[in-house]
Amino acid sequence: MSGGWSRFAGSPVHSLVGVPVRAALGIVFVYASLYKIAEPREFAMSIALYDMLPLSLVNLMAITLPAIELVAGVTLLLGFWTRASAVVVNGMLLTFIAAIGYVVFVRGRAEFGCGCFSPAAAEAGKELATDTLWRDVAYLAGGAYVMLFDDGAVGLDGLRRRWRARRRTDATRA
Amino acid sequence: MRWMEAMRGERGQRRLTRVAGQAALLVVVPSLIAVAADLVRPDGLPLVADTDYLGDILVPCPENVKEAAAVALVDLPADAGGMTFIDARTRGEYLAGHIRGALSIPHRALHTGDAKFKAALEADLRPLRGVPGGRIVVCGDERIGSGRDFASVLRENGFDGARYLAGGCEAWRADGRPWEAPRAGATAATVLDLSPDLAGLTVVDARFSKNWRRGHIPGAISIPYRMLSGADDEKLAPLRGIPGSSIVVYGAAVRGEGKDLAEILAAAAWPGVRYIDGGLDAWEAAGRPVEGAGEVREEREAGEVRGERDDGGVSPDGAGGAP
Repeated sequence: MSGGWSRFAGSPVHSLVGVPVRAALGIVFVYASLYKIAEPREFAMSIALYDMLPLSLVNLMAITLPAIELVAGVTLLLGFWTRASAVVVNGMLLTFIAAIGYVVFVRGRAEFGCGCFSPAAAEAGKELATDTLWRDVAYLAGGAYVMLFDDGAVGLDGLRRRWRARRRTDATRA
Repeated sequence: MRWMEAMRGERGQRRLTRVAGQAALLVVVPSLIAVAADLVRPDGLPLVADTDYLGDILVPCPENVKEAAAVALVDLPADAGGMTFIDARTRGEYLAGHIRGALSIPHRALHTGDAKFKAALEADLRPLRGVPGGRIVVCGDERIGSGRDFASVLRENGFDGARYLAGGCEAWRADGRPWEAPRAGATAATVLDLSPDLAGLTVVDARFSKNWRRGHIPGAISIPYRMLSGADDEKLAPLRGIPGSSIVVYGAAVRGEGKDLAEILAAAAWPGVRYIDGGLDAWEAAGRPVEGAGEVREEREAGEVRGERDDGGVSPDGAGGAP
């Protein structure tokens, strides 16, 4: 590892640059979770349309995924467990990219509603699935940046660390 | 911060483990809460999707999963309990009589057509959302195979296991099963039943207006059946106030849109409405006068087929006819 990389990775600028990236990703994930939580049946239908999961797992995914999206979105936004939130968000994005990529490239369906922000049935034909794919890749780039470089200094993590550090110095002083 | 260095060594390992543990918690805790909430909320999903997908059991091999399977009358409960029936015939045929409780979603050529018609199809399928495919049985017109075709369309659109009734809707009626028919539907009138000048009658041409322009029964008004959005369509306004018994509808002989429109009118506000048996062709064959005629028949037919594809998208409520 070169010194240049190390200096880049260690730059305090990242905790500032990370804030808008985290905010954008967090808002996207919270927003995306809303219709899925409000209408689990529609979302289950959207998952079923991918025709990838066995039927017995479709509902479980439809119930749990939106909750994970919501919580990870909020924690990313607030900078709480920042890296872990980014790991979870990136994991979801990789899953989405794999699923959409499979439908677009393996099954050859260019006009596929992804069910990302509204039921897949209603989305079909409105957006090219390859655009959805690139959008998710862009989100993933943002998520990877946060995971690698942003330690949540501007956020709850930073507050927590400063608070703990102060307690430690108080303790040593006492 | 200098996390690259911080992630190395024994302390770094501990940090990595902590992040992994937090990530696991971020997945597991919301999932458990979501499952608990789902069990409580009234519109919650069953944790395991309805396994009662009859079609999955009946379809022998996965390659054929999109090809709809037939279901015989004897395999269905007599009262159709628990099954959702879809009537894929034209709206007029449905109105003239259908399986009790069946939904009307006329199968149209555009259902299997290009992506442009996706929205129309989605609107047509909206009433079915949430119904497991294995509980859906489509009945159609056995002569043109519309039941099988529409069941296949359903399978391609998320309703795995949808099947079609062998023998079509008629088989159900012929077997004496629960059947719903209007008390007074449209009735057929032969050309000879009608006086040549059609005195006192309002004559309605149900074909596309293009065909009306090329030739129609003198005095006929044009209300294209396939352009209607439903029984309360603005295009029916010219008929308001006219008693059904003085209205005569006709179409082309082969397509039956005259009967279809008549059934819609009879079910709406015009009981006693009649349609000309054999349509305009029978009228012409009897030597009755036609206004504005002179085009070659074949051209007319070709234009009509094109028109159907162009116009079909605007009436997603299912007022369209069979292909």
